[in-house]
Amino acid sequence: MPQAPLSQLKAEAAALAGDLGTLTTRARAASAAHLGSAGRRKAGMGENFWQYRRHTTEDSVERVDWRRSAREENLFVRETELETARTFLFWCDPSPGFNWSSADSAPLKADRALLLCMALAGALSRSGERCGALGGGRSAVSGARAPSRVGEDIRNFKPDLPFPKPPRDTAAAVICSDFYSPLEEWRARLSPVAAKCRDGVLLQVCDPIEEAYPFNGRVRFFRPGQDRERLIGRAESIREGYLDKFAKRRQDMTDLAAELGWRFVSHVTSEEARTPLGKLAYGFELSGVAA
Amino acid sequence: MSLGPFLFLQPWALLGLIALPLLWLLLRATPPEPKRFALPSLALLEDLKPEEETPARTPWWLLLLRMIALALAILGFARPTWAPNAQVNTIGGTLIVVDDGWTSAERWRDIIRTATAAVDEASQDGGGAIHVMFTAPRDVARDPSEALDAESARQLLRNARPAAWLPDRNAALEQLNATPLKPGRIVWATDGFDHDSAAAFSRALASKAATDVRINRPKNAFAITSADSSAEGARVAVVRSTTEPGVTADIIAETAEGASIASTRIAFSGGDTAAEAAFPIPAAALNRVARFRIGGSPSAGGVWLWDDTARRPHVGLADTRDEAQPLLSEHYYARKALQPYAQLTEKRLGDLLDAPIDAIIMGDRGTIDQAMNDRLTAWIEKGGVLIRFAGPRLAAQEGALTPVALRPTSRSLGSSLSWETPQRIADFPNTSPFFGIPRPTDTAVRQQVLAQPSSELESLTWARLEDGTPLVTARRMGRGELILFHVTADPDWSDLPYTGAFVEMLRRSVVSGGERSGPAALGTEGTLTPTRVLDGFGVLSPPQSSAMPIPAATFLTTRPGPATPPGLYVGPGGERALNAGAPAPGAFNDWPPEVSVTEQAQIIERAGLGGWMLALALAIVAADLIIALAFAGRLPRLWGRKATAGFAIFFLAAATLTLAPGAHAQASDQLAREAAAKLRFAYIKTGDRRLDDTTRAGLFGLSYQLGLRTSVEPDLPHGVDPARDNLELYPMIYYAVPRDAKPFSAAAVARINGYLRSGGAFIVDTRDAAPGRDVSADLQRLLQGIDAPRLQPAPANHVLTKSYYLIRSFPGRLNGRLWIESGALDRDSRRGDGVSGLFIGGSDWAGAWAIDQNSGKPLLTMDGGPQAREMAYRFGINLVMYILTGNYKEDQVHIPDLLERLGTSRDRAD
Repeated sequence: MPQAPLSQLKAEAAALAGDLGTLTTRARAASAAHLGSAGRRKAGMGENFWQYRRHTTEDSVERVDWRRSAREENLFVRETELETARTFLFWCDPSPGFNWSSADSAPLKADRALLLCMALAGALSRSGERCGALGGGRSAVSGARAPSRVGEDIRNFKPDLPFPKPPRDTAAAVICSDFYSPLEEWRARLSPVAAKCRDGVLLQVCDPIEEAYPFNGRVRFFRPGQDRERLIGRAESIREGYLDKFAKRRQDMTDLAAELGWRFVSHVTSEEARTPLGKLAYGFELSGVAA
Repeated sequence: MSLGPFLFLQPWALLGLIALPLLWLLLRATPPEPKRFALPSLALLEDLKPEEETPARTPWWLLLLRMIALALAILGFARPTWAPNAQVNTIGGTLIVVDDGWTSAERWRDIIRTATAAVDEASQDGGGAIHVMFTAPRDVARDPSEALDAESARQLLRNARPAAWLPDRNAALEQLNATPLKPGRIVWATDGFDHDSAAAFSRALASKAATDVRINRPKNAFAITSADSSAEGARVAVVRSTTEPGVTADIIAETAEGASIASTRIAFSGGDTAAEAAFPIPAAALNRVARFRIGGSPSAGGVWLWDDTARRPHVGLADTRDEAQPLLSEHYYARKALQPYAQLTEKRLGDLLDAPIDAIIMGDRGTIDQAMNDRLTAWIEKGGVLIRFAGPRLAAQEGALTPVALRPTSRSLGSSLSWETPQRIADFPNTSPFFGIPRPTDTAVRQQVLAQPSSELESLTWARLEDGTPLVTARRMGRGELILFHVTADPDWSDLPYTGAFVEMLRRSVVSGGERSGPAALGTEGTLTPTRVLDGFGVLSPPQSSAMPIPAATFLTTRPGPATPPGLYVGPGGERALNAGAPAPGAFNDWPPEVSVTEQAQIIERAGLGGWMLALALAIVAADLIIALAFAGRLPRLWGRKATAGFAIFFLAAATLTLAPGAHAQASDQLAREAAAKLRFAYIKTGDRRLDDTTRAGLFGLSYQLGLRTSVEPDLPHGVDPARDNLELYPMIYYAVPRDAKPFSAAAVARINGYLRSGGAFIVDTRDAAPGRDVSADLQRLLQGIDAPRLQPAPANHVLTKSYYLIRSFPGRLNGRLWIESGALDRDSRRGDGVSGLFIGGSDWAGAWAIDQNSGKPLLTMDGGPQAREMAYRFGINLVMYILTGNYKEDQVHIPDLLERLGTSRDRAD
């Protein structure tokens, strides 16, 4: 199946993002590390005025806004609008193996991953987060243009590009791949990113036949984009081994995510695209990004 | 080309072996193409067991198997042969000697194959010419020294045919010696018979070069050595070359046209090489036999031609006289008796002795002068049969030429001056040639000559009277027989000439001589010209120009040869046969040690190996297929689903085949569908086309009238076969009984009974009603098994008379009574609500109803014209109404009319 046009993905992503609703960061994330420019439309740390409120006994004296309090008898405290804008960086595996689907009717794994990224970016950007592509070259942006910029940047990834360097500033990372490369390779790739990104999600997108392994008889396998082929005399004989490996890789990636303090979400393209969105949102909730 | 003990007839095919290494690479490079799948997650399997890599290449042993199959196929196509003795040096060429007499004919193919094998062996080394020599003499002799290449030698052998005579090896050897040929090796494909030359010939060959004798001897009886007519028919002597016990052979007697009129099977007992077949053929048929043939042994010797002499003895009637009253002629009865069985010549005795005659019948004759007596005696001793009849003259003669001495007077029985009554003939003694002839019980012997009693009289007597006096005596003289009937040849002295026994006695007497068709039979004048000759395979054909006439004087000593092929020759003495089978040659087994001998030689010959190799190659390929399937993991599936499907297809096909003749079933189904869809009547198809057509037209006419007049609108009638078709769908089945009707079959009876039980109406119309006789007496036989209750004529007040029209009788073209089930009258034991299901009559209703389907005009004329026809229709409509509505009309509807009718009858009663 050829790559879906970006515009189509954008439209689908917008629809999905609409389903997802508004993602907003939770108070727990209101640390200095997360200072940003996006107003949260509620009181909190920020530069812009939000509201005056009555002074309560819990408030320290320093917080009293004397200029406002001088006009009336009561003491007022000046509150600023919470500004906790975070940066979300998306990365999709550009390898041919990921840019592949088993059947013409099934979407490419990469397309599905991109769709999810864009949907997520749409939802996040609506709530003021900044979204961008990891290693995309352009800075993360917020607002309506964020999903398409994420999409364009990801589409521009070249298959032979090395894994991007970690971002300079803290961010949350969404890494989409099938994670079939060796585990150590992924650990080496992700560890530097995780050092910069406390939050992150590993999204594994698989093709149904990769999960089901419906092969029998004499089969010659090859990996897309690679010349090497492997002839299996009786494909069904290694079915169990394969399924074990497949499950183990999922578990390994889950463990790796936990090790990095991230979440691991797996998705099969035969499922509805919105299924993993919830999991992704949930993942971010747990990692401090939630409504 | 040879390789060790193998000889390749098509060595060029071996070039295919060069291709083997190439094929090796090809086979290795192209294992069965696997399915190809992309699988990105293959990366996960990087460290999974590498052992599954192995099937990527065909396993070496499978490859080896295929290479072996291929090599075998190539070798097979090269036609290898096992020829271990092909190593003999053939410098100077190979001489192949072929026995091509008729003794080779039965195994000719084998002999030629043996010889061809020798050619193959000789040709393999490429050196040395091939020489072929045939041993049977030909009119145009081949030069055995002519050098041939292998192909022309093979062709020469292919085209060779066995001669109809025996080989003359000595002549062949002389011919060979006359040439400068010095063969390096000699192969002698022989028939294995001596021909008085086998030993000498093989020694002579062995002295020239290493000689290899390969024998193909006829397996079974191969020659008929004689065929004689006997009293019972014919006796055929056959010989065989082997001594295997329990072998049988079929001898076939053929007419001149080639039709076989009799055959008999003989069994060779133990180690005998000769056997005799008896053909118990009636004498009249025997005359039609032209030749005997050994079944399955096509050779000139296996055919015995019968000529005139062999078939019918030549009998001379001595000194006959033209007489005014032929019935009183002395020879009349003998002539009549023998005419069908013998060639009769009537001459003076002296002339007869010069003619080719088997037997002479002499009437009552007195003096025979001494010279004639001597000639006669000499003639008898050479094999002639002299049959004398007694009479007054012989009785008066003393010292006549008779088997036994006679008393000088005759004995008169039952004459007016004798006490003795005429005597009857006693049973023929079992030592007599007449034994087996039925004794004529009504024959009276009134007078006879009497033999002088002597000790040998008993043994010389062939027939005697009931009182023991000899009637026929005979004496063996040399090879011939002197026979005396002690009565006259005419019925003067006895009734014997009137009887059938006389014929048989004469016949047996005539052939009792030792050697018929002796030298005298031929005469010595003129020549005998061939008319039909046998070829080596025993087929008669017109003679070639090389066949020469044979002087009659030398005919009997002539042996078959190129100029005198066996066959039929015609000369002044009639048709003569020159047969090849006698004397039959003897098998030769004492081969000199100088030669190497192979019995049943064709075994070592070519055939085998190529075919075996190809078969083996095919077997390997088949095994390879199974192995390949097993590799591809297809085998279980093949066993499972595909096998099931295969079986299903097979059984489907089988079922289709079995159902194929079931066309009638389809037609029957079609009828049933139509019958179920619309109301229609049916008639029983009788096989009589005219009758069926009439019945069909009758039912059509009735249906038409019903449609016009009533709400019953039947469709076109159906013809049904009660044994097959579904009867239940028809409300009424009409059976017009044909004149030559046969009873229904059991199946039909069962179905008709079922139809009646289920409420059907079965109308039987015998169409032969006559005053005083309603239905055919045959009906009971015709309707045998039909489940009919007691029948009664339909009474005048039956509901049939009022079910639609009010009618008084049940007319058709004839006007007979209608018989219905009496249960229909008896309301207590009614079945089917008292409605009769069986209607039997002879009024030919269908004939009255019948109209032409196109014009609507009545089909048959009938008495009474339209009026009568109208009444017939009314009955028909009433009948259908009755059948359809039962006794519904019995009441209600016609009450006023019924009352009126009752009233009138009451009035009348009053």
